[in-house]
Amino acid sequence: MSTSAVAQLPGPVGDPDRLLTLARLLASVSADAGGTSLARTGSAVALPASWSGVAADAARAEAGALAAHIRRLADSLAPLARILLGYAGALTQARQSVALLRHEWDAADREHRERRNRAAAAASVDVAAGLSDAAAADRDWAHEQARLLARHTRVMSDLADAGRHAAAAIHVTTGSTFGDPGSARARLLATLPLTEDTAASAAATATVTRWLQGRPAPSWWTPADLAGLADLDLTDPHIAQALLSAIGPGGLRAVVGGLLHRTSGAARGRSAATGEDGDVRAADTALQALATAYSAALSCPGAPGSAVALRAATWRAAWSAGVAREGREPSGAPEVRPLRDVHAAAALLRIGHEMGLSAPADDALAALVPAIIHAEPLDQASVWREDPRTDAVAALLDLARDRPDTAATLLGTPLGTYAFLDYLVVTRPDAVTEGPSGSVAYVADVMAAILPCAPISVTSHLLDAIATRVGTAQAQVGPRLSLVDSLAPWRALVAQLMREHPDSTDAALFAPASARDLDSEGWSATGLPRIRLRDELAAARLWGLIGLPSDPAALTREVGTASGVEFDRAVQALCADDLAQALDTVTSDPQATQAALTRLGTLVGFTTAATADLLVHAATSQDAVNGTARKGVDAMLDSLKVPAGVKTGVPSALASLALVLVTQVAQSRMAQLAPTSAGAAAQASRDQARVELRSSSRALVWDLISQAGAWRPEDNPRDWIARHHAPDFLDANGHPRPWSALTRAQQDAYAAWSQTVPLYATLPSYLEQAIDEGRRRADDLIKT
Amino acid sequence: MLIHVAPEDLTGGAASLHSDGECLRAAAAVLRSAHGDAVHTGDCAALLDALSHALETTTIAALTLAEAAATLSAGLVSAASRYATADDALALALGGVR
Repeated sequence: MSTSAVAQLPGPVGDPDRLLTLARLLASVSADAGGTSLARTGSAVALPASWSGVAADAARAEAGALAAHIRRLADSLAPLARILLGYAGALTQARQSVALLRHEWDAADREHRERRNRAAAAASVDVAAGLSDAAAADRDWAHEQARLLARHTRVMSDLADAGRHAAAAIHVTTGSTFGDPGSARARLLATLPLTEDTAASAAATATVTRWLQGRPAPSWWTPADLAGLADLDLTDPHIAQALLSAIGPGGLRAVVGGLLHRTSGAARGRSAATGEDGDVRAADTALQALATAYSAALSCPGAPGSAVALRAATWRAAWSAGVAREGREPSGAPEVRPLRDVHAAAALLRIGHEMGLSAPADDALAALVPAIIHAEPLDQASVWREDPRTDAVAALLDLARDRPDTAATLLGTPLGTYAFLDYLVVTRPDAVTEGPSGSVAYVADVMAAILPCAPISVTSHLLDAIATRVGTAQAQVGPRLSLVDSLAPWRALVAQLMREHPDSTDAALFAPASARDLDSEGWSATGLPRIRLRDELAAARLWGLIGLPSDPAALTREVGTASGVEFDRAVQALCADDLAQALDTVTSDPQATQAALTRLGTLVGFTTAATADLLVHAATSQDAVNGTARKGVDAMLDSLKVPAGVKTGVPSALASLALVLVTQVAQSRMAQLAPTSAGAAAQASRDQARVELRSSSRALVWDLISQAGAWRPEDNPRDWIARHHAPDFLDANGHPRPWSALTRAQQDAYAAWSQTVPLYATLPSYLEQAIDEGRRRADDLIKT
Repeated sequence: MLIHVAPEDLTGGAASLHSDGECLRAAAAVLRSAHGDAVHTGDCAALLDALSHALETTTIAALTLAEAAATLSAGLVSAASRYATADDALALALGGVR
C-alpha cells in the first residue's frame, strides 16, 4: 500500500480486536455477577427463613435490595458488551472498506502513471496526440481520486454515526441504572441502610481518629483541644458516637468533671471579680459541644424498626453497658469522691435541655435509673451535690414533664417494676434532701405535671407508692422528718385524684380483690380511665393523707381551710353516686335507697376514720417536739371545718357529718392514747358521740328525703302544719328546708311531722349502721 | 426476641454473602482494569466518553455492592456467634461501641 493512499485515505483509529476482548470481558463480568447467589435467589440462600425479629427483617430487606442491584449490574453489563461488539463490527467493516479504497487508489494511481508513460512515448511520434493522452490521464486520475475520497468520507462518517449510536445506547443502558460516577455510590447506599449506616460510622470513626491524633487523653485536654471540638460536626450521630466511643465513659466523665469545675458558681464569681471570664466562656462552649454530642449519640434516628434505628439502639445499649461497667463505686470518702458517670450525664442532659436539644432516647435515660438509685443516697455529702447541674433526678424528671412516653418509661418500665417511682416516693425522702430535686414538694410537683399525660397505671402505682410512704412515715420513730413534712406535698395531688376517681375507693372496699390489679385497664363510670388502689389499707392511708394540713405549721396554730376544702370535695365526690341513687329511688324503690345509703355510710365511715387516725398520728409524732399533741389535733380538726361556700342542704349535711365523724374518731384516739378519766366520764363521752352521730346521720338523710319529696299525698307537710298550727318549716316548693337552716321550733315541728312518714324513721338507721361498719373496717386495719 | 435459627444456617448465609462480595470485588477490579481499553474505540469522542463513564460507574457500583455484601456477611457471622442471645446481634456487629 502506497504512502500516498494511506495519507489520502486515513483509516479508523480504533482497535476492533481490543474492543472484542473488552466486550468479552464485560460479558464475562455480567455472567459472574448474574451468577452470584444473591442475584440468582435473592435473599433466600443468604438468610434462613427461620430467623425472625427486627434485625432479621432489616437484614432481609438489605439483602433483597442488594440482590436486585446485583441483577441490575449484570443486566447493564450484558448490553454494554453487545454494544461494544456492534461497534467493533462497524469498526472492522470501516477498516476493511478503507483498505479496499486504498487498493483502488493504488490501482488508479498505477494506471494513471502507465497512461502518462504511454502518452510520453506517443508524444515522441505525435506531440499533439501525446499531450492530449496525458491530459486525459490526469483528468481521469483526478476524477478517480475525488470518487475515492468521497467514498472514504462516507465510510468514516458511517463509523462516526455508529460510534454516536453506541454512545447513546451506553448512556441509556448504564446511565439510567446507576447514574453518573459521582452519584452512583450515594444512590445505591440510599437503598442499603445497613451498609450506608456502617459506611457512615466507619467514615466518622476515621474523622474522629484523625481529630484525636496528637491530642492527649481526655482528662488532659487543653482549652485548645476543647475548642477543637468545633471542628467536628457533633450534631451528626455517627460523629458523636465515634467521639464518645473513642473517649469512653471514663473520658467523658473526666472532661465534663473538669468543665463543671471551671464553670461552677465559685469559678464564675472569681472570674467576674477579675474581669477575666474567657476561660469560663470557653468551658461553657465546650460543655455545650459535649451536650450536643451526648444528645446526638444517644438519639433515636430513623423510622421505628428501621435498620438505622436498630443500630442506634444497639449503640445506646452498648454505651449504657459501658457506663455501668466503668461506673463502679468510686473509692474515697463521699465528699471527695470523683464525679460519677450519672452526674456527668445529668449535667449534659440539663445543659442540652436548656439549649433546646432533643433528649436522648428513653432507653438511654432509663439506663441511668439504677445508678441514680444506687448513688444518690450515698452522695449526699459529695461536693458535686452543691452543683445543681449534677442533679440526675431533676435532669430526668424535667425531661419527662412534657414527654408522656419518657415518663412512662422512666417511672414504669415495660416490665412493670416501677422501681424509680417507688424510689422517688417511698425511700428517697429518708435519704435525699439536698439538691434542686431533694424536696418531696419537687417530686410531687413533677408528678402532678406528668400524670395527666402518662398511662393510668402510672397513676395507680404512684398512689400505691404514696400509700406505702404513708405507712413508712407512720412507722418511723422520731420527728427528724415529720409525717406532715414528708407527706403534705402529696396531699393536694392525692385529693385531686381521689376526687376525680371516686370509684377507686369504692372498688378497694367493695370489689373483688382480682379487680384491683394496679396494671389493669378499664374505664370508670365517670368516663375517666380507672385507677386502682391495692387494698383497703392503701385507701385508708390515702384518705388519711387528704386530711393532713397543707402546712406543717398547722400543728401549732390556727390555719386556713385549704385542706378542709379538698377533703370536703373528695368526700362529696366519693358519695356523689350513692347520694344520687338515693335521691332517684327514695320515692319509688326504698330498697335501692337503703343499699345506696349503706354503701355511702360504709365509705364515709371508713374514710373519715382513716383520716382521723393519720391526723392523730401526725399530731402525736410531733408531740415529741413541742408537746402540743392535743392542741395539734384540735388545730387540724379546725382545718377540716366545713368550708365557707358549701351550699346548704345535702352537701352541707354530708360535710357536717364527715367533720363529726373525723372529730369523734380523733378524740376517741386521743382518749385512748392519753386517758384523762375512766369509767363514767368515758361512757358519757361515748354516749355523746353516739348522739352526735345519730343527729348528723339523721340530718343528712332527712335533707335527702325532703329534697326528693318522698311522702304520700296524705302526709303532705303543709296540710299537717295547718292542722297543727305548727311553725312553718317548708320552702317555697312545700318541701322541708334543710335541717341546719331551721330554728329550734321549726326543727321540733319538723320532727313531729316526720313521725308520720315511715322513711324518716327507718332510713337514718341504715346509714348509721353502715358508718359503724366503715369505721370498724378502718379500725381493723389499724389494729393489724 | 431470641434468634430461633441454627448458627450454622447463619454462618452458611454469611459464607454465601462473602463469596458474592468477593465475586463483585473481582468484577470491580476487572472493570477498573478495562478503563484503559476504552481508548480503543477510536476517535469518536462521544463513545469514548460514554464508555469511560459506564466503566467508572459500574466499577463504583460493583465495589459498593461488594461492600454491602461484606457488611451483611459480617453481621451474620456476629449474629451466629451470639446465637440465642438477641436478634439485635446483627446490628451490634454492624456498629456498636468498639
